[in-house]
Amino acid sequence: MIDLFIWEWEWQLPLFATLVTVEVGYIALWARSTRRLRNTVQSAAALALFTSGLVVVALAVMSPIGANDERLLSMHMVEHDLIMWFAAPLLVLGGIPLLADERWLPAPLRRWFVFLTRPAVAWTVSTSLLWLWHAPPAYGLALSNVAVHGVEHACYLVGYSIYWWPLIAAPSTLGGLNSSVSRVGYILAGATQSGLLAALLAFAGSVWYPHYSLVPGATVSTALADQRIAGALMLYPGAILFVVAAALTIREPVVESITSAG
Amino acid sequence: MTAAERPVSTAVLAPNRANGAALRASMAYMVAGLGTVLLMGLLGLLMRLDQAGMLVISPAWFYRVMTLHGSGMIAAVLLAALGGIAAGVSATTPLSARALWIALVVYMIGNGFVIFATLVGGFGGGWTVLYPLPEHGIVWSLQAALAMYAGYFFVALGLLIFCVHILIAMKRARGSLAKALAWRFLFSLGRDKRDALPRPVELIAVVIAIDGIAAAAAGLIYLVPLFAQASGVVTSVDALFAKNFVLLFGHTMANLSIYITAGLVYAALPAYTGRAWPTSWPVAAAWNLIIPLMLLNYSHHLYADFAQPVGLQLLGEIGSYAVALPSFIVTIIGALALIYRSGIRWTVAPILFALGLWGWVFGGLGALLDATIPVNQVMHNTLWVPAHFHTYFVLGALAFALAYLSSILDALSETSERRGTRAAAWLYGIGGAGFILMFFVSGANSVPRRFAVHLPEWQVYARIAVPFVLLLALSLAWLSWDLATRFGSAWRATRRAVAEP
Amino acid sequence: MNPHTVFLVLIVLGAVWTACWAAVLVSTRRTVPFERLEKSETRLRLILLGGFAFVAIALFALTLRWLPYRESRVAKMGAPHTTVTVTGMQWNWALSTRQLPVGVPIEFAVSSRDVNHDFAIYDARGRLLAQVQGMPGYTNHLVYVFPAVGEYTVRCLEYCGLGHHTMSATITVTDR
Repeated sequence: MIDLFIWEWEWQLPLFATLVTVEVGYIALWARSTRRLRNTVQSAAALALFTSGLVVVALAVMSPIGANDERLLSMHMVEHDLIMWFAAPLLVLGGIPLLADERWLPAPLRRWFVFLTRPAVAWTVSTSLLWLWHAPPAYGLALSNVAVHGVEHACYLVGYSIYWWPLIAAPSTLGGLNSSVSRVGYILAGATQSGLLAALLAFAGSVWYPHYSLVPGATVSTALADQRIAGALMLYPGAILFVVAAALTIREPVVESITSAG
Repeated sequence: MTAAERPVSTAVLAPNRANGAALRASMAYMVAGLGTVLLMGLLGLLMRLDQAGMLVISPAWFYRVMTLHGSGMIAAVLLAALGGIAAGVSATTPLSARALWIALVVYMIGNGFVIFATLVGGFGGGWTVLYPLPEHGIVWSLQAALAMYAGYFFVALGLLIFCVHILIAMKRARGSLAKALAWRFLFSLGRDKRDALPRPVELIAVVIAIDGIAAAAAGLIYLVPLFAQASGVVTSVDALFAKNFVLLFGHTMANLSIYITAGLVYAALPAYTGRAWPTSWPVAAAWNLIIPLMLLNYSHHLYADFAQPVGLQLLGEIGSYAVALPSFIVTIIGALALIYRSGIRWTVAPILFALGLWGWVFGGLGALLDATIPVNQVMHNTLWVPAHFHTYFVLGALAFALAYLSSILDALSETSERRGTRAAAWLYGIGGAGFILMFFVSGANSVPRRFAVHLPEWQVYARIAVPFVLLLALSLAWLSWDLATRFGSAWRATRRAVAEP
Repeated sequence: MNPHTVFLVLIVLGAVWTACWAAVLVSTRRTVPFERLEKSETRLRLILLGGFAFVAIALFALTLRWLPYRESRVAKMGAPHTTVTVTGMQWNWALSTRQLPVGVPIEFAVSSRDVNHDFAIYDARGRLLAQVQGMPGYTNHLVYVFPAVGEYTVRCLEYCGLGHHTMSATITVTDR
């Protein structure tokens, strides 16, 4: 199976152009809001984090990891893990300071934003996008069409940015989850759905995506072994990721104001 | 109940700015644990129905359900117990809600792995994951076994985080662990009272935290060679070593629950009886003794492994007898003394505490008998073994945990329990007693444990048990519903400060 | 050791305990100040401590005479007359012989080819008589005297996978 891996980089102009456009758009917003950010360190950090997120996307897709995503499901899984678990949070970390002063966000956009970052909605959006794109027909379509594949990656990036926002945003800020119990419930809900999908993949008795057994040099049995590894790469690192997310996003309670007892 | 009827001194649980957050985390532990118990209980009902020949499932599914039921129940009851003791401690010792929440996330992720391994991966190796069975699954893959191991890893890690935090918090509050364990008072035979004594529930929290760390460490030690063997780094692991460590890990975890929940009896029963239960010398002595004794008795499960050194076998026997002494003489007699002619009002919490006391002793009698080596020869791995631990759980740890949650709601909730709930509590006792008695009867008739298919002559015992299980399930459902409807106002009360009396 | 006797002991002791427990519960209708109970509570504890410790030590000493391990059994019953090699495997038993004599010590050398099993001997009435774990990498020795002629069933009593409940064999015990 390892012999299916080819060390090569895959330049993708449309992707690069998209990332550059997004970065330029971010810098424009960033420049406007720099006056509102509290200090230059925070504004520099925001820019660095957002840019890193885009760099991670670029590396995930264009490095040998992404270049082998049509030959090995396990590599494809690493590519997706990087987008959902590293790029998305980085984008959110870079985006949050910009929206710290929400007054300049236009009202209709603001309403959408508040709606999307509601925990039930954010979880539903990210879960639906994840599961829909893992359905064999959709996954197969993405493997055979570059544009559709790009849309798939965009869905993961946007879907998981929406998922991570309520956790990364501080309590009582725009979109942030207020209580620890809601954060814990939210983390466990995210871990459960992604863990379930990973488990289904890791323990499946048959190949989900026939494409991988048709790659030159592959057989059904190597494709199945590759699929099991892919499932494991989603299951175990995913668990660690959610534990780390809990450690980073669950905070000591804000000391609540005293009200007199009933 | 009216304000006049509320138990004396709810100050023990009085939420204030400091402990409201920790109390909420603790209550979340209890809800998560008890909720999981209900689900695992349904699996248990399914097992009894299959063994009764009334609802037959395939052996492959039976063993998967059995594996999930066993590991899930141990983890769930322990989780509820941990929540209870955190609540009890938090009234007077500051705990970090953040540490509690993080431990909970880690623990629940471990549970998730176990659920995926059994329900999705087909793992049916039993909660004991007794090496080398997980790797000789035949109907489950090595991947499924690894997921099960990962589950145990995260649960052990969550337990470790919780226990370490308790020790840190108690050390900070008291100055040293020796003071938290009342050693000066203990070794001076009660004469030296210069150190402020910890409340019993705080002392017990330190005891179980120490043993919890030992259990978690045993689990992690056990898992390292297993992962190494599964990944091919070593060729095989010694079967005797494996059995010793998996039981030191799992048996201690199961055993912990009854001791933790015993601590809850110390915390809550005084308020209902109007009598104090302070840290006396017997309490300090008994609980300090339990630290080493709790770790010794696991080896009563190895009497039939003749390869185990005889010295260890005998140590297991004497340890099993010995640990009964502090438990019965100090805790159980102490609780009975508190209740005796106290004029206690038999509301739900006292009823459940009383049922737990009954079951702890009855299950203990069964355990002591089976812990006697010649008896073990004819009872090992029969249904006698599930009989004793189901008694400890259903009419012991679980009863105590439900009682304690009920006492939290009595203290904090604005609503009172429904009249029917007291009847439900007694019926829980009757259902539970019938259920476990049938296990003892089965064991006495040499019915093996962990059989997916029972011979016709064995099925009759399970058939008698089923109505009791249904009674148990229905009364537990009623109890849970009553607790659930009162929970919301208690939760909200934790956000309000109450003036210290 | 008769399992029914053990059960009877449990029921008797359990009934005594239940009566005490119920008495305490019923007693709560009337009250007495707690301070007045302290002396009797301490006395009760000391009596129970002494009593239980005595019983525990006596029981422990007694059990030393009835250990199931090879040395103890040989000392009690005499040297084994026959040795049977038993190998457990998923999911059946291999025995070097299934015909054995009554009334003399038989040594079962039990091991496993794969996972842990438990070699358990049942009589025709379904009563468990003796058992020993079969562990991979070890040979455990069970010395046992069959009390009567007839058919005995071997079952596996250590969970060993899908076919655990099907693993059985028959031993025929005859006059010498």
